[in-house]
Amino acid sequence: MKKVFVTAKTKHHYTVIWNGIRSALGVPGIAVFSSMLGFGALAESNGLDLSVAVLVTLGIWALPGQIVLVDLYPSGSLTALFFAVLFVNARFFPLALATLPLVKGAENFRVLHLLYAHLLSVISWSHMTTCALKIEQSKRPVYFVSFTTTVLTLAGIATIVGYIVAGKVPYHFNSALLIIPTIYLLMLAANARTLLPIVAVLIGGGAVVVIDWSLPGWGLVLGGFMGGTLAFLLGLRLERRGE
Amino acid sequence: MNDLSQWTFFLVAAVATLLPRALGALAAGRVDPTSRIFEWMTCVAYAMASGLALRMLFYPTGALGETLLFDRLIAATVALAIFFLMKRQLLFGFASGVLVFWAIGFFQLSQFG
Repeated sequence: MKKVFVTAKTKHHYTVIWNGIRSALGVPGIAVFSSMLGFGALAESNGLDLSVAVLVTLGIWALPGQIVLVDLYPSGSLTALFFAVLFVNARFFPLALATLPLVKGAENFRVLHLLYAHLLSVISWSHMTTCALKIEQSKRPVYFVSFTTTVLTLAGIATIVGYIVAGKVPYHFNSALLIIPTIYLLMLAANARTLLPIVAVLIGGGAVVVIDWSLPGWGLVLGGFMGGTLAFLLGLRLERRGE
Repeated sequence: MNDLSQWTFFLVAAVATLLPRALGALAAGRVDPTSRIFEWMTCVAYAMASGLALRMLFYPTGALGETLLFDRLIAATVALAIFFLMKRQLLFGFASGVLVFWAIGFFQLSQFG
């Protein structure tokens, strides 16, 4: 961290920081702000304190995992919560594998890279994948940190705004805020493009609903795990047949 | 409501999120991100995203549970329809679903007070 700010003390690095902030304030910022507004409202509606809601955004920083927490909070099983969040956020493992080399280059592991991994989100992954090659390697960490911290700050502010506004605005505004996380997840699922994820969306969706109906609170973990695994195996078979 | 502390909930979820991130940071540059095991992880994540979306549509918790299932289904259908009609533009699908749900609420309020 220290190195980032020490190396940033040159005029040229300030330009890199500013470029990162400016890119974050465009479409990525709008997308994050609007989705986190809904998260803040949902957290308020499900009984979380404002301080916890903000900490969840800053400390988990992955909307599907955050929604899982808020959704499972009323039912209260910590084991189900742990595995549900782990499974839904497991994608950060390959995401970090794919993105961190773009940011840090060939450098060996340093504790600072844990911070990079924490700041990582789907938006910064897709942004870095398209933009990283246009930025000089030595400047990428500074750019990445300025981009991601700007988006994360916006997410924190949106959580506070959504939380405070929820319940104080007319019914139609409040319900629109509360539907945001659902529509967000639906779009995420609909965005599946290749065979395996498409099969996972179809089988997993059904499995979660069916299992949740018979075993409340566990549908998400068991349905997600079994549905996803079944889809993976079935998708592999379909792929082999197609070859 | 839940008896467990909200902080406990946060800590458990934070550890569950930190694990894959930290493993990714440790293994970055040494493990191939295109391996098949990650396709399985992606499948589980997609299955959970779609399952959670359907769960929140059909069995919502908190104040969302006070809205009508039919209204939520209309918003979801419009969001999906616009998403696919607009050549998979996420923001269009997202915005149209939320706007339609707001409009339904607004219409009901003006009709029935």
